[in-house]
Amino acid sequence: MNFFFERYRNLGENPSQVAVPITIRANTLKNSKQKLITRLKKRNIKVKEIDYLDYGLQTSSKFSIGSTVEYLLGLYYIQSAAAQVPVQVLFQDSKPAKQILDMCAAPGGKTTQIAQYTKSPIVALDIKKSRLDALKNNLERLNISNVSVFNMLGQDVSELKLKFDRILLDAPCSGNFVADKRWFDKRSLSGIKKQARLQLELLESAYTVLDKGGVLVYSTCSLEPEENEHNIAKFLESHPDMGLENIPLSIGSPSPVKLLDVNTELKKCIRFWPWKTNTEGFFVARMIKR
Amino acid sequence: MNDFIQRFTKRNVVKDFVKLGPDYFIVSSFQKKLIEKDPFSLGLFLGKRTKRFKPSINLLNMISRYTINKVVVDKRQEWLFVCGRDLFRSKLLHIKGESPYKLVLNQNNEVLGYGMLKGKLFKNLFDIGDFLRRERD
Repeated sequence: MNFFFERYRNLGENPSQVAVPITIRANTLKNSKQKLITRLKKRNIKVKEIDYLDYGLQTSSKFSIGSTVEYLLGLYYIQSAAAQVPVQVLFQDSKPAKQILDMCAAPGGKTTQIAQYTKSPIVALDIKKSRLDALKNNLERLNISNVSVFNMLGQDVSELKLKFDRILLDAPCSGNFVADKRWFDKRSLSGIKKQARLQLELLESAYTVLDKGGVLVYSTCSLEPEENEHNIAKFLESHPDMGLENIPLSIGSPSPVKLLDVNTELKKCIRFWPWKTNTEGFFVARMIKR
Repeated sequence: MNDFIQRFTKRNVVKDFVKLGPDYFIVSSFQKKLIEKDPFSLGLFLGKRTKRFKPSINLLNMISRYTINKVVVDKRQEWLFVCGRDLFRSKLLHIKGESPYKLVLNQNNEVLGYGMLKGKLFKNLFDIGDFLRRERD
């Protein structure tokens, strides 16, 4: 633990363990957020809106939030608050999306969230077939029809011969200690660097299928710079036509560019430090192809 | 799939569909072009044929717009039904239509699954609790 906490301290933080609340996302394809709140309150579930999220609700109940009739009816999806941010950032502008790619989609939390923002075609990829079954179940439960799912590596996306004007790359990452109590025992710097190389490959693949003027959102639930700012810095260096965009959220901290010794432009990326946001750790960058 | 739909209604509920292996889908014109690229799934999932046809909740919702063959249950029976249980006929709030096969609706008019009247019992043939059971399997 000390090694990683020491790194966070070197980035100007005062890290501590946190217990994050249980959060859900109202499925507005089946009901409004307000109607869902009313229904859940009738079930004696405490519900509070999350002010920085479009569809997010904080819940508290004596029973599992995954064992209600409303859940089975697809009126909501269980999703951490920070995990709801990348899709919201992908659609932060009002420009209509034509064709959207979710590169590492299973089990479908973010894919199904994308469907709440657009009726346009969504292509979802993942390599793990068992997780694709979960994605398919979620698409059925949430009544979503505009998603096409492929069992393939994100790195092979160009084989589909399609172009996209919005891409979400929620990259596989080393995770963080909030969601996994044994995270500190399992992780090493060499493992994190290996993960970072894979993420950079995925970024390169996303670039090849992104239309000019298209938006690419890169996110991870990792707090490690190798998987976040360092990857974005390398990617931008090799693609001068890609530029970072501001993320106007009322929560999250700008990347500590000076302490990380990266381009000041990377201040536009945001970090969710768990001890500050009371969420899982997260990193989000929004880029546009000029 | 059409045989299954006919248990509830003679109406043409699904006008156009595609089959990917055992799975049935309604697809858009864009999705139709992707079929040759070997998708895992696409469009609106309607159900799966293994030994018998197993409908999706999407298909049951579509059928619900065209059929009168329905039963309505209260909150207690709703919970028992989504837990996979058969129900007593006497506990059903409303029974409508001639077919022994019925969609099961709660008091909010939401489809919970379907089943069949058999003597004093209403047999559960599919319910939305299946989403949780699938994850366990």
